[in-house]
Amino acid sequence: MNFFNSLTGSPCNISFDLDNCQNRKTIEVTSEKGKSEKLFVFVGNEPVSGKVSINLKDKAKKIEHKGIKVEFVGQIELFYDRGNHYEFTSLVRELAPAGDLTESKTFAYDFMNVEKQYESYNGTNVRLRYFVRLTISRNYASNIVKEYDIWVINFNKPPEVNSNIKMEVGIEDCLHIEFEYNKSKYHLKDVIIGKIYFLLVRIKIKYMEIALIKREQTGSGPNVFSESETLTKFEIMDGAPVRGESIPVRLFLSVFDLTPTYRSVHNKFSVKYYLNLALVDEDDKKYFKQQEITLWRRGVSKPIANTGKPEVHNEIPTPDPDASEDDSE
Amino acid sequence: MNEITIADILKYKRLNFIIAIGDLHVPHRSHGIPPEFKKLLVPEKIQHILCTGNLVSKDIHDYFKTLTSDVHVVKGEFDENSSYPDTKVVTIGQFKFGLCHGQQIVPWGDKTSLAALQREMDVDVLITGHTHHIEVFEANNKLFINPGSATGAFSNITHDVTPSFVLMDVQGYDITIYIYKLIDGSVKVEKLEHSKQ
Amino acid sequence: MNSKGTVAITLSPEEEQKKFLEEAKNNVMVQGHHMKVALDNGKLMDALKYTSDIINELRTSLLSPKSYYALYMVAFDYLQHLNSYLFEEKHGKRMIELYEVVQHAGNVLPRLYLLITVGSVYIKTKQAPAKDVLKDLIEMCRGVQHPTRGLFLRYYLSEVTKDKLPDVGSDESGGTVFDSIEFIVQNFTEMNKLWVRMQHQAPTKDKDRRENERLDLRVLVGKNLSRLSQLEGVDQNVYSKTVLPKVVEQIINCKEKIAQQYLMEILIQVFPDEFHLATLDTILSTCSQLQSGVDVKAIIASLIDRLANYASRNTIPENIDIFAVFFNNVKEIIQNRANMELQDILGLHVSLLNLTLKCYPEKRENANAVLGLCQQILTNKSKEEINKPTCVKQIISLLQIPLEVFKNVLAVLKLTSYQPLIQFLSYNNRKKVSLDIVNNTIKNSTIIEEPEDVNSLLETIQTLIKDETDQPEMDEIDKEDFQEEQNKVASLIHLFDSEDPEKLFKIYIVARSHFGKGGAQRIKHTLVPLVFRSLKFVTKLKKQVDDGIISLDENQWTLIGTKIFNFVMETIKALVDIKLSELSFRLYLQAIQTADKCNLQKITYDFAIKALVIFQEDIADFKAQVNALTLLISTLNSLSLSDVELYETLAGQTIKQATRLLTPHDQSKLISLCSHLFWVDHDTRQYKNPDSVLQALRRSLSIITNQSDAGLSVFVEILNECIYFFDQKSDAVPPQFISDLVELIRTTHSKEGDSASVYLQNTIKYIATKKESDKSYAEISV
Repeated sequence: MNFFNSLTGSPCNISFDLDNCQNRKTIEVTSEKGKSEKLFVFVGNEPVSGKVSINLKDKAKKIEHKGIKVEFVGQIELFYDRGNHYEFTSLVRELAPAGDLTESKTFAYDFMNVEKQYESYNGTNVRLRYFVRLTISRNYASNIVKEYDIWVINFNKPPEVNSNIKMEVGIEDCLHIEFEYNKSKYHLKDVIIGKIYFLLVRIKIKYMEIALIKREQTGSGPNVFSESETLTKFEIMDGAPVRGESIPVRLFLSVFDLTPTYRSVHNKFSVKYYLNLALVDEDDKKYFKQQEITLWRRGVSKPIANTGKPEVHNEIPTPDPDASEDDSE
Repeated sequence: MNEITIADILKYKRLNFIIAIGDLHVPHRSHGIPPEFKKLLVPEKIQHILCTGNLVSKDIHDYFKTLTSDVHVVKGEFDENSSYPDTKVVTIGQFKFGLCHGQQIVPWGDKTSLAALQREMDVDVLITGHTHHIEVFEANNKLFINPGSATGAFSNITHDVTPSFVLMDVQGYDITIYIYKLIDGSVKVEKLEHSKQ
Repeated sequence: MNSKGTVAITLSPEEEQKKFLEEAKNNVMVQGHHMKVALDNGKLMDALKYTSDIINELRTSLLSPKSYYALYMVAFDYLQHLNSYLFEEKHGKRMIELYEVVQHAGNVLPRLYLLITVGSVYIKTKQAPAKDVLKDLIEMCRGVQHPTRGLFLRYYLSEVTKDKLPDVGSDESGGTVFDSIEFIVQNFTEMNKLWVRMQHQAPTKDKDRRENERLDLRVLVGKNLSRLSQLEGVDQNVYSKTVLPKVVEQIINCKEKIAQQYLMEILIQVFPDEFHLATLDTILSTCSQLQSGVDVKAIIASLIDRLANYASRNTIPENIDIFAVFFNNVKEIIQNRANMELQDILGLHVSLLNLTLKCYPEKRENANAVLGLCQQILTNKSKEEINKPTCVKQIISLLQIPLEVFKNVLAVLKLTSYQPLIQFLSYNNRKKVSLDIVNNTIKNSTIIEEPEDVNSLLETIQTLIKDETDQPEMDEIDKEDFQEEQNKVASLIHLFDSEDPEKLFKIYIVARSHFGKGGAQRIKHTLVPLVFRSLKFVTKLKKQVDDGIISLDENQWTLIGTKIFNFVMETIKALVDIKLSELSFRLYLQAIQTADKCNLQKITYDFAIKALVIFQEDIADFKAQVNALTLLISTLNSLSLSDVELYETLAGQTIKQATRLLTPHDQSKLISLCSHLFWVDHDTRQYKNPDSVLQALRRSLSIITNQSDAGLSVFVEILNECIYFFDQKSDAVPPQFISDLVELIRTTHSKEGDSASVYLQNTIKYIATKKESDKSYAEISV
């Protein structure tokens, strides 16, 4: 047993190399430790293949191991439940049986049809990661493990049904409005177009704004955590309207850092988006109406260079909002 | 007798223009001085007005006052203003002008009787009216003027009265007399000369 | 515990405003400076952010509209700078990108100002059709509902797009003039709504201040109408069919009086008169629908005046009867607006009257219609209301204008509603109007030839002619003014004339009946001219008969003559009855002369008797007696009276009166004058009685000689009478008589310094001169 070895860290450097990444998009992500790193972006049904190199730090020292494997893992990490990671997908490739690693070695791996039905997600209380993990198992020392993250996105099919949202709300004898948003489902670069029509105005309104709210809900049962983040407060009206006025809404979504709506990711968390229409009166009293909108990721996967294989696009249908979601004031 | 234009006359900037005028009988027998005459009666060009009387109303006297401050009026038989004298003598330049209405002269307009009046008033020029007949004549080297009626007022003495008045220009011992008549809507002027002996 | 004591300084509202404005302006200028620097360095995104900060100052609610305007102007300059940059510089950005980028701004006001700025460049670079951009901009502007901020935002929109509006002649792919019209009209409508909203949102205690603030901003709203008028494609047709209906709809629907008042006035101002002419009905019916606080009269009056002026320079198309349109609409408006001030109603009448007289001078029935409407309205108004000075002024205007324009009182009298209007005025004003009528008639020398017209005229001016129930007491009336008025009325008679004698006589009878009702103070002025006119009339008639123009035989003539002279007699009698003895006497003398000329001897005699009666009974003042008697003598002397008996009777009476004069002085003087009664020598008559002449002179002399203190004058007068008869070659006065008289005067009564001494000298000089040339004078010795 070499105590020094275990104390001075890993005996080898492990580096991952992915195929087809020369012109691949990257995304800047803040890791759990606060570091910012660039990850390659993969579309969900793209194969993940590459090479992993194990480089002995001390060429003289051999590493005795019980086996070397590489895994492709997709897991959900809930922050309040540290240590509990939910692997929802994993594939293993045995690279080498038990033995000694006497010199630096590079192994190829290939995860062709791994299912990556969820998108990578970096949230407030939850994280969803995809990574390639190399494990060198050892008897007397801890395993040598290295993870290499990729970022997965999935395109959604354009919704078949995309009705507008039109509703009349109000307070008796005070305020009656009819608001309309042109769609209920918006893609991430979409524009929310709508109008607010005033049927009855008996209060002194100072201004009106639409807030875009992202709500991340994690956990289930007794431990449910809800995090709301206001992505923007977009003023749509300055001053007090009278009955009959129609105020236009035009909100460009491309400016914001948005993900598609995640209804239930492996039953572990959901990310939903809401439009919060708020009217503020002269006494700073707020009247609001929240309406969920569904976000979807629009796009066509580009054919992957070099493979020449025609791509089969399995775009994930854009889910419908639950009927039960409705917060009235 | 030549026709003289008003412009010719008014070119002279002399100091002794005298208007002899009378028997207007406003409003008894006329509603006013003819506008053709009014146009000629320009304030700056008239220094004296010698009026034979029978204005009748104050309006006419006020009108004369707008033309010049030196207005002399004698009483006609219909004048409402009892303060007018029966006769008046006015000296202008080298001439003594006698002013009397003439209803007191018997017979009316008689030259002999007028001569007597001239002797009584001891004037060089005797101006009378009443007959509504414009006349200018010399007798005994004295000048007799009747300016007639400025309004052409009806008269039992004269048939078909022509509106008339007289303008005199006194220069030293000479008087130039301009007789103005309104005939058929236009003003006719005649000129005469008289010198003091 | 506060270490620093805080002192609260209270600023006055004006000072506060100033402070806020200064602060805001400073902020704007700081951000503006940064913006410019960023642009100079090509950093467009940064510049946009600074611009956004500039506009943030415009989000203030602290400033009054006036101060806000000042702030807006400062910001505007920077926005213009950005505008030029975007258009001119090669910043490489496509407009469509910028158009989206600026919409990311979180606050709506900066977002829209930037959007408009970019939008205007967008249009200018023709990267999108103008009409599409304009439509989008104006829609998005709804986001600002605050009245002041919204007004200025839309004003900015209007200013920045004014030269980019599609019009005739521009490329149609960008839009047509109709798109521009719709754009402007929509902006106008929204701006007006905001402007009106300012009023309703103010608390009632601030209402007046709010109204003033709104007035400060009115030009912003009105500019839209100017923009419409500047579009070349807005011709009369487009104006009538498209522009006007929309504008009018907004004006009516906003139901606010300040907006309505101002916008109507601007509408009339900015569009040409031809347009108004073609759309009169619409404008006027709009007026009738305006709020009750709007001064509709001012609007209509200005429109009428404009069109009246237009009419004087241009011909009006025949199918447009401006007067009818105005008249009918004004009638309706007055009916519908129950609380319209009477003076405004009357003001409209005056405008209407001027209009018809200017545009349709021959259609006098229009003028009458206006007066008739006025009459109708006044019938339902109270006396207090009518007699307010402003209303009276208007009514008098209505009555004076036809006089001035027609310059003929007969035409005025034909307006059937004219006279009734006068009756609504108070006494003094009725008098004033009547005097205007009189003066007008005299000034224009309008001859009135028909008895009915004379009647009508005198009825119309009856306030001057006779007493009325509401006239002030005699001592309140200025005597001089009264006399002047009556003299004017009297002058009127000289303008009544007709070639037809029957008519003329009838006219005088009509006049007499009117004037006769005037009372003593009036008839002494008005009846005199009537007398003279009658005398002139009968004189002329006689001449016409003599010349054969009118054929009457002796009897007929006498009949008519008598009738006329009876009329004269009665008229003079009325003056006798009010004790105007001297005047009546002289009038009788005039009548005597005329009757004599007309060869009506009996009448001549009758008048003479009447004169003598007056002389004896009513003329008491001795100077008056002397004057009167002198006149009588000279009158008798002038007559052609052929009937010797009649004449001698009158002469005898006259002498008798002379002998009865108060003083011997007067007696003597008048008796010497009586000598002329016996020497009548003119064309129509000779009556020569030299003995009586001498007798009279002797008698006269004897009376005066017996006077101890007699002055020289009578003597010299008698002397001159003698000379008269001598010069007449009458043989009445022997030369010796004259010589003796001269001697008498010289010896006994010659006094130096006597007022008559010059007379005497002159007389003697005359005799001396005469002696040189006239043989008959040889025997007179002086």
